[in-house]
Parts: sequence; C-alpha cells; structure tokens
Amino acid sequence: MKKKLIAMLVCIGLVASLFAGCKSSSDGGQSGNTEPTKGASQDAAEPTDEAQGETPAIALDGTWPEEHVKIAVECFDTTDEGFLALQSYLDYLTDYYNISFIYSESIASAEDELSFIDSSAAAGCKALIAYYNVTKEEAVKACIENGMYYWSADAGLAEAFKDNEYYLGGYSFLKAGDDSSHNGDYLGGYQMGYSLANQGAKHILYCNGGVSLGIQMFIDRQQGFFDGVAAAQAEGSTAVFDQKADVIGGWPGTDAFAAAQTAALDKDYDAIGVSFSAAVWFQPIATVGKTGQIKLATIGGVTDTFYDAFQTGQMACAVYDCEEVVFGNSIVTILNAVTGNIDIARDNGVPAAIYVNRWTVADADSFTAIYNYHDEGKYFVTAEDMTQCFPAFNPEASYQTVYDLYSALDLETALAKIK
Amino acid sequence: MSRKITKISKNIIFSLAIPAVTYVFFRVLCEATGHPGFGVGSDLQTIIYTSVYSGLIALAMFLNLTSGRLDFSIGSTLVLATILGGNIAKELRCSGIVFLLITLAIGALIGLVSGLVYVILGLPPMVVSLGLAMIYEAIGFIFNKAKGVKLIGKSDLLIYARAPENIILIIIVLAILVFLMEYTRFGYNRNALVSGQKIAVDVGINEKKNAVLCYVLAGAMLGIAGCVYLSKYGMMTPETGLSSSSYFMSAFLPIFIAGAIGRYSSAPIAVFIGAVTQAFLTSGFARMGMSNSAQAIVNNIIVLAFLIYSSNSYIFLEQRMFKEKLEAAKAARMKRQAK
Repeated sequence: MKKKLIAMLVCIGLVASLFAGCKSSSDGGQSGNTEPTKGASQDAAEPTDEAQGETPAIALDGTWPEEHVKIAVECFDTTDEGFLALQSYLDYLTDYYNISFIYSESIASAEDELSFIDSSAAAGCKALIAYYNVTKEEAVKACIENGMYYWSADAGLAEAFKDNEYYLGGYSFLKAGDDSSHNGDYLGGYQMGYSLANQGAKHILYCNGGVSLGIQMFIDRQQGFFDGVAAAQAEGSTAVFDQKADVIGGWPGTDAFAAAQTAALDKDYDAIGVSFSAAVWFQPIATVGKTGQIKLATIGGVTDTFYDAFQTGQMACAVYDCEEVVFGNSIVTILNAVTGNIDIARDNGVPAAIYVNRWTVADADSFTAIYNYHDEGKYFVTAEDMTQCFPAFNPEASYQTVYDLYSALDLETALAKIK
Repeated sequence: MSRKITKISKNIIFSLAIPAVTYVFFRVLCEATGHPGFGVGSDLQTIIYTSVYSGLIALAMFLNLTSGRLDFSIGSTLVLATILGGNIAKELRCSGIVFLLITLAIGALIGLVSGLVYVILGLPPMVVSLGLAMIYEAIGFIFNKAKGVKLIGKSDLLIYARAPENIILIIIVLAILVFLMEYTRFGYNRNALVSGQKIAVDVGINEKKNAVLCYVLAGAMLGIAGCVYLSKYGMMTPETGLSSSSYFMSAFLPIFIAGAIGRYSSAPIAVFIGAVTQAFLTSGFARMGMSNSAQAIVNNIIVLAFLIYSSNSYIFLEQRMFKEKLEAAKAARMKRQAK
C-alpha cells in the first residue's frame, strides 16, 4: 500500500513537471502557443514610421540582450585579489544585462584549459574571457572550433587570428601607433621599478616570484623592472640595484623563500619591488622592526590588503589594473559581437586593441579615494556608461565609442570623477 | 650502568651527527665563499622557524605515512585550520595562546573527520585524502569570501615565528609526542601496527581506532604549523585545485632523514632533527645566493640519497649479521678441530 502511494505521488510529480513549462492563455500565448497572431508578428517586424530612426527605449534591467548570453572566464588563481575584484564587477553587471558567467577553477595546465573551454561550450557559453592563457593559440583554436568568441589580453595572438571574427582581440597598454613590442606584464614591472627608483630609494631589492620556474608573466615583469630602474637611474636616480645580487625568487610557504627573505631583510634595502602580492612582506618587515624603513611596490589591486600599508607609508606604489577599465571592455566587445554588431566589436575588421591606462597609485590619498569609491559599490565604468557602446541603446555607437570610453580613464580622470 | 651511558652517548652522537656536519659544512663554505652570517643572528631565527614549521608538517605526515597512509589532505587541513582559527581568534580578540589552542582544536577536528571518513569508507587512503583535500580547499575558499585570513600587525597573536616562543612550542609538542609514542598504549599499538599490521590486528589491536587517533594528532600538528606560518607572514590565502598539496613537499626530507637515524632516537625527535638538517640546507643555499631551481635539484638529490639509504639499510645489517655468523662458525670449527 505504502509503495503504491509513493508510486502514485511520483507519477503525479512527473505529470506536473510535464506541464510546468506551460502558461495560461492569458499571457498572450508567448510561451505555450508557438503560433503568434498576425498582428503581433507585424508589430515586431514592421516598426511604425514614428519609431523609425529613433532609439527604442530599452530598460537596463537585465532583459537585454533578448537572448541570454553566457560567458566563460578563465583564470590562473581563483583566490587572486585582482580576479576576485573582476568577479565582483562582472556580478554587478548581471543585474543590468541579460548575461551570466561561468568561472574556471585555477587553471594549472594546458589540459585544464582546453577542458574548461570544451565544457564551457557544452554549457552554452558564447564567449571566453581569457584572464589567463596557457596554451596560447590552441586555446583560441578550441574556442573557434566550439563557435565561441575569444577575448584576450595577449596581444601576441592578434596577428595569427586577425582574419577570424571569433577572435575579438582585447585591451592594450599601448596607444595605437606606439612602437613597442612589450606586453602588459613588462610595462607593469617597468612602472614598479621606475616608480621605486624615482621616489628616492637608495638600495632596491626585487622579488621575482616564478622566474626560475620559467613562468613568462614573471620573466616579463622582471625584465620590465630592470629596465624601469635603469631608466630612472639614467634620469639621475642614485638607487643601487644589482640584477643578480638584489633579486630573490619563490613564494611564501617554502623554506627557501623564508631563508632568502630573512637574508634580504638583514641587508640595507630600503625599497622592495614585488612581482606578486607585496602583503607577504608586511609581517616579516614588522618582525625585524623595519616598518616604515622599507618601501614596497607591487602589481596588485586597490584592496583592503594594502589599505593599512598605504596609510602607514609602507607602500610606495601599487600598479593597478582597474577591473572595470582594463577588463570591463571585454563585456562591451562580446555583447556587440553576439548581438550581430561585429563591426563595433572589432576595429575595421581586425581584432580590437582598446588602449587602457594602468594606474600607478603612489600616494595614500589616491589609494584611499579609489578604495572608498569601490567600497561604496561605485564603478568608474557603470552599466549605464556601457550602454553608449551598444547600437540598441545608441545608434551612433561604433568601435571608436568603445575605444574613447575606456582609453579616457586614466588615474587623474578617475580621481576627478570621484570628486 | 656504563654500558647504558655508552649507548645513550652513542645514540646522541649518531642522532646529531647529520645536522652537526651539515651546519659545520655550510658555516665553513659560507665563510670561505664570502657569504658570512650563516647560522647566526636573524639567520638562526629563520633556521629555527623553518625547523619548527617544516618539522610540524613532517610530524603530521610521519604519523600516517609510516602506517602506509599517504595523506594528500595535509596541506588543505593546514590551510583550513589556519583560516578558520585565525579568523575566529581575530573576531574574539584573544591572546596568542588561545589563538594557538583554537587553531589546534580545529586542526584536530578536521583530522577527526579525515580519520572517520577513512575508516568508515574503507577506501585507499590516497583516494580518501584526495577527495577530502578538495572539500577542505573548497570550504577554505568559500569562508570569508575567499579572502583567507589576514592578521598583519597583530603582534600579540603572531608570536610563534620567533624564539624563544617557537622553541618552547616545539619542545612541548615533542615531549607530548614522545610520551604518546613511547609510553602509552596508543604508541605501543601504533608501533605494532607499523611493524606488522596483520599480526597486530590478529592479536587484538583496534587498527581503526588507532588510525583515527593518528589523524587527530596529525590535524593538531597542522593546526600548530598554521599558527607558526601565520606568525611569520601575517596572512594566508585559500588554496584551490589541489595546490595545497605543495605544502607537504618539505616534509619528505625530514622523514627520510628520520628513517636513517630512527634507531638512535625516538621517532618524533628523529623527524625534528631531519627538519633542522633541512633548515640548515635551505638557509645555507640562500646565503650563497643559489637559485630556487638549483636548490630544488640539490634538495631532491639529497632526498633520493636518503631514500636509497633507508630502503637498503637492511643490506648493511644483513652483511653484519652474516659476518658475525661466519665468524661464529669459523670459531666453532676451530674449536672442533682443536678437540
């Protein structure tokens, strides 16, 4: 009897689920009825004369684009503060646009990356934001094979895929026409080194992270740092820096790093450039009683990790890739591509290279202002700002509109916006 | 009596020989190559810190590894216990000792879960620990919105990275472990299980209970190691994608050194001596400015050498035994011939 009752309840459940997708006829047959009325179809296909040439009033309430857009985001470390900040910004955008995101785990290998791309395609993703790329061209090829758009920060891939419309390009730290083959990591390292040497440092140490492991990102940052210090020295800085003796590698958690860090703190360094989070130096510096005597520079976000350090003068400089400026343009580019406006997504048929500014925050006031602005839930590029880049909202939108919106936001403009 | 004194002296000398030789070697080498400062001042502080931190992880690993249970969740247990314990201590604004006790208790609790899951599921320990490592990593990641724990500047809490606090800590830990291993039923049972599991179980030792206790102890060690780490760096970020497994890589050399000198001292002390030796090695290499990759190569060669020695040390024992038997046989034959 009991079994029969359970079976009956299961049957009722199954039958109910069959009708779950149907709505009553009072909803105008939008979902249940597959044959729309003649009048309705005419309304949709033939706009009235008054409406022609005018922007349709589209609400920014998460209903545009009409078809939901899923976007995959690949990252190298899900706990990275920069990535978490980007994630927070992307989640904010989901309240205003009909989009959602699938985030990767920490990608550690080529296999992980290609598997993530395949599974994202299977989940219905229309595009991939490559916050990280292990396999370079292979990742782009995998996206193309799966019919996904690819947005990347890696300028080196543009030449190989310039004719493929699935390759959207990305941002660039170089203005159009700038003659440089250096990438963002090099430039970040350069700014760190230049800034430290230029701020009166006497003896500089560089903490290079994964250079000895052959990780390209760290190699580029190191080279940039070396060149940045050299450039400042050429301009008159008296900072002492030896590219062999004044460099240590590795990360916390290893005995080798702890030993190298202690050996370094025994010396007379008064400035340290760190190619990853400088926060790993705060406590060791405090332990040896050198708080305030050593200035730190890092590539990192405007986050609460560095808030106190800036207030106490421990931080000399944070090279900051503002998430909504540097990576936020990916959403504009991708949404234009998936809504059929590929001419806006790409620059005259070639992959986009939207110039963005990397902010070198070198004083506590600027840091605090940016920190507080984000803390209040405000962004330098809001969901509303982005609408000017979409023809659905602004018929005049073009690639140049996107370029102008993002390239204009340097540190000074951002600080002015706050005031 | 004098025989006993001779034995103790021999044990002390053989136990301390490896770290002593390593220290002297690097002291001379660093001075000779113009890299002074090895093993003194702040370098000595780092050596002590590294010995305590790596020693605690090695002890946690040793408790299970010698019974054939390779625990992949060691790193994730350490990270999770530290993140939870650190944040609780921060909220409660408690003292350094309470912070240690909280983290230790959380570590032990995580160890208890690991042990229970292992004995209940009955799956190979590597499989169980891999699954648990992923779960612990995920909890650590979700907790506190992936921010981990930050106690930078809280000097009243972060007291375990410097001497004498860390020395006192490791002495207490070693004393408790030696007592548990050498003078309690748990220790006898564990040693019996390590020597011969089937026989030990056949004579009535409860293997499952012993395994769970080992996991609990290991978890407690990892909680303490987390406190030491946090005292050094002031922060810890969560790990994902099994990246926490890198935490136990530094535990192998101390365990293999312990395998080589284990017969001259109690196992926990041997493991800690191994950790001290490893700290001398890394500090010496750092003083001489050796790159990380070169250090990794040398370290792994040393690990391999100790592994080869530990795996083949019975050959020396066999040879000595054969030699003694041969001499005894020869003596007996001489005696017979003389008659």
